[in-house]
Amino acid sequence: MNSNTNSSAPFSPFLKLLLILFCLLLAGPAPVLADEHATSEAEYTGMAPQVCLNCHGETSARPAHEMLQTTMARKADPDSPFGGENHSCETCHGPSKAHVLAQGKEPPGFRFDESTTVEQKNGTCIGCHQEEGRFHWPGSTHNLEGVACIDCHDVHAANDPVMALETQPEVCFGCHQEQRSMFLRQSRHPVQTSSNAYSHTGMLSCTDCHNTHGSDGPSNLTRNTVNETCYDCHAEKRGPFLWEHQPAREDCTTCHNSHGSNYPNLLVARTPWLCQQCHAAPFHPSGAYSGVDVPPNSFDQRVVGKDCMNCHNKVHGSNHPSGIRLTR
Amino acid sequence: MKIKHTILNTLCSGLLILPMAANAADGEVEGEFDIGGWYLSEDSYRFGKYTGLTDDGWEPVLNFKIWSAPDWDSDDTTSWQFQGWRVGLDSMRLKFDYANQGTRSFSADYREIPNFRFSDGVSPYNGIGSGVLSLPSDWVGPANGTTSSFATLQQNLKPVRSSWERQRLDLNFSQVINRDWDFNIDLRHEEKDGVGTFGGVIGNSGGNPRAVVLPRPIDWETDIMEATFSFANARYQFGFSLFSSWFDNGQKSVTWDNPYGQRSGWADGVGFPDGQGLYSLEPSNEAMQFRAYGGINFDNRSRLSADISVGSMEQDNTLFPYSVNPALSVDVPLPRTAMDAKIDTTFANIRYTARPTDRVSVLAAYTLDDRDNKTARDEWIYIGGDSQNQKDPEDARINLPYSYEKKKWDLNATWRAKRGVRIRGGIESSDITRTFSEVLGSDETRLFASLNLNRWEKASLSFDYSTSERDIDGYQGNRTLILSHLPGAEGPDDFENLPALRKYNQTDRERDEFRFRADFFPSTRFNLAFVSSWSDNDYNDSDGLFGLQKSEVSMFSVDAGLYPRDGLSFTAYYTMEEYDSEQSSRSWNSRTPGSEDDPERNWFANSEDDVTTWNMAFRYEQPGDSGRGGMEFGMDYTKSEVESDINVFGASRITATPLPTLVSEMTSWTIFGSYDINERSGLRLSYEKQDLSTRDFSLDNVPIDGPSNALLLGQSSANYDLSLLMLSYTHRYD
Repeated sequence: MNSNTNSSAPFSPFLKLLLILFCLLLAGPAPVLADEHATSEAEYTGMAPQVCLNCHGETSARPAHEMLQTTMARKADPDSPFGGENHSCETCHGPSKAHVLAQGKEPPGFRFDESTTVEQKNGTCIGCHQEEGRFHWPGSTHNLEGVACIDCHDVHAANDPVMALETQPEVCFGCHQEQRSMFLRQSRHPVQTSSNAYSHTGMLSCTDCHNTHGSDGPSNLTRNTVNETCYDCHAEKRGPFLWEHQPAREDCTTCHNSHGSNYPNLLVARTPWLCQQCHAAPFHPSGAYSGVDVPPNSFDQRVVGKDCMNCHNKVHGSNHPSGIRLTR
Repeated sequence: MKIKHTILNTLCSGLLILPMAANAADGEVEGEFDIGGWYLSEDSYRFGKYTGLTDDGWEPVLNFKIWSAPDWDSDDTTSWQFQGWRVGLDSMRLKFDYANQGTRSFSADYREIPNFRFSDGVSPYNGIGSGVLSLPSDWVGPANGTTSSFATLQQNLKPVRSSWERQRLDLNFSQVINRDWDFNIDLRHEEKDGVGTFGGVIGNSGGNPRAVVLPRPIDWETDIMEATFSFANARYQFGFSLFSSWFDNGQKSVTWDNPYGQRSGWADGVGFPDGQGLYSLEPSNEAMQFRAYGGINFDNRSRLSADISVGSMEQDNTLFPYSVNPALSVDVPLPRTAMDAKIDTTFANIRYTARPTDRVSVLAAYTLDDRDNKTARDEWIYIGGDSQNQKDPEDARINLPYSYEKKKWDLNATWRAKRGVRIRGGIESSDITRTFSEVLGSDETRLFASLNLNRWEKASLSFDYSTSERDIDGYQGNRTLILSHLPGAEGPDDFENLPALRKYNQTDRERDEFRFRADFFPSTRFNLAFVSSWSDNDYNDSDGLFGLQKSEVSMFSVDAGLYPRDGLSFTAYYTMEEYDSEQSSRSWNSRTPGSEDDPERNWFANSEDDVTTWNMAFRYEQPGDSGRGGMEFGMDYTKSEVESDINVFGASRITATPLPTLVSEMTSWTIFGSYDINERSGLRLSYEKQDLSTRDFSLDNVPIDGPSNALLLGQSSANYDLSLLMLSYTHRYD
């Protein structure tokens, strides 16, 4: 909080507490990690992936042949499911000798279907993918909503759609229909909404702003706050300014809908009425602007053109010594 | 535009060294080129807003992808890929990836993101696109005149186009230090150049401000660096990162000649031909943040993590004088010559997750977000709109370096009651304390519950509901007015905004939200999904208050997919949304005593937006025989329609009529197809027919000199009806 006020610095003790806790955690006793899938080597085929692709080839009902074109399948990388001491397909699908011997009539060692829980499915992936970007997965929105990794990722595909800028939004729109509609509005961020119409070609992907695997910030944003996320591409609005506009400093979404809007500049409501939701000073700020102020009746400068912004442009803050009314 | 030349030079060099890179990897080099052209039937800035397809006629098409990857069982782990999209257009993208899997990786991603705003503006000014805008030599700006008195306006109009382009280069390098440690660094350089607009006003108050909407230059560069050391194994994950961002504005201000003649309320020398205005552009600034995070998995059932960031945002730009007009008298100098503004930031998140039983999981989390504005408070004896001599020192205004601190606690639990049944509920409690605001403190509690039923083979259902209530400690509407003046200059009962006004981002609020989703998949060949949601916000818990009163959003959507056989698909969706809001205020002025208390001056604005979005598509794919004869074709239809009605009405002293409906309707038809001539060659064809119809009362039929006190740019809302044809030849090699 501001040192200009009488408030103390309440985060300092909190910060210390967290640091102490952090150190204690690092020094804590080693845990016993339960191996829930303890198996013996004899249960593996020892012949994957070739034996698997005999039945899961290009023309099969459940093809997995493109797997060999992915980075998951790298024999020379010991950390790959197909490398080192790992068991190729069976690294994720579990020991499946019985499945092969029964020509598919017996299930594989681990099934990514309704017979296993989301936690079990995800545990298979997270067992290897502990990277920094997935640090916040436990307790994240998608985790708590019961989303499985394979709900979004096509791990057998040579080119996983969710990993490409152009095809990723379509995966996200499968659950986020409101956002799909918003990206078709006249004021929008350029995220691809149609896979075939060139006018809808995407310049940005959902993950330019969101970390779908969880984050510190709200709505799985890539940065800690809404504003910090926006400043990545709109650093000119970061300031700090001499004359601040409080709602802009606190949260960009107070005035903007970041996905899309029918109003200019992604605004949540039409100006001047949006501005008038917070401004009711004498004379023009509190005036009632209506159909009598627009063509064909008249051309009131508070409603036409840039309306309020015909004069008050510095809505994100002004750095001019005479800019207190956000006109400079 | 330096970055573009660098990128193109690098691209040429890169193409020369690709064969060497190919030799360095064991994998074969494969590639695919797509060469052809786009034909656009008519000019349209809006159609090509983000793609650069703005001019009628032919534009070349070049897409390519070159890659090399080892066979899965090779001893090699090196792969690379170089891809280009829309090369030649303003929306070009180039991406190069190199990876020695398990050791290191590098990527370079260059994107051009245009934004074509409008091309039909006009302005009498010389120097469009620069920081100095001057009037033509024959300009006529009579004293006390309005826009209609600009006798030589029409003959001096010049075209104004507003557009800009981002050129962004993202570099990433990752190094696996050992099995547990990684190093990653991201670098970004972005240049944004073009022409935007702003409203320049000269004048102060009492009805004398006169405005002109003007073009402004955009000349921005942003650099971002984020370096992270991270450690991860099955038990511990922790890391440290440093983030820095630098923004540089190459153009600090725009000055313009005042087109309006001298008028009462302005000091001498402010009106045409001597007066000027100065508009400050965004100050260069920088930010940095240090982050430390750590997590521990106690066992497979519980985890504790903490993530802390401390940083700052600052700028120390040299300040402009109070006014650019030399005729104005300024007796008291600026309290400082450079801004020296700084905000310290602290963000912390601590989270505990546990699964005490196989059926129950819990989460507890705490988040702190602190923005501490260290900028000094000074007394500024400002000059309103470059139009008056400096005021007396007792009229000084004091800047309000706003700070806040947000805290949030989360506690929720998930219970898997039985197979396919998941029940979740929880509570979130947050509070915020602010400085220099109408409300210094508020708290909000949110309760939520959800039910997911996924126990049937051919259907699933989910319900989500939440309710929240925000309570404020007390609303003092004149707090910022008093604090921005010298002590005693404003009394405790003085006000600027109506005392009954409540700003919606700070006032009491009750929010209820509901969402329902049903999925049906009766066979692997057909699926159907229904989604409906509703959100209701009620502001202010007592009558007689002004501001936003209520907002409500409801949505219904249906998605369907039919897949009669392999290679053939029909998909469709329909989404309907309605946005409603209600606000109120009172039209008052200090020249009419008692008007601030007169309920007959109350007015209300009800806004309703109806949005419908349609899409239907089908696609057919026919595999070829030995790479020959394969084909794909399909159709895509999209329609997005929005109607916004704003109904303003009032009590007896208010004259108001509903506003014309704001409309935007976009319809797009696309047919597309491809045919494989042989395993190396193919043809692609696409035809898109799109029309956009928009109506906007703030732009349509508004002449540039329509408002008497504001000279506009005169652009109209976007409308077009055009076709886009694309034909290309694809060649593949390996």
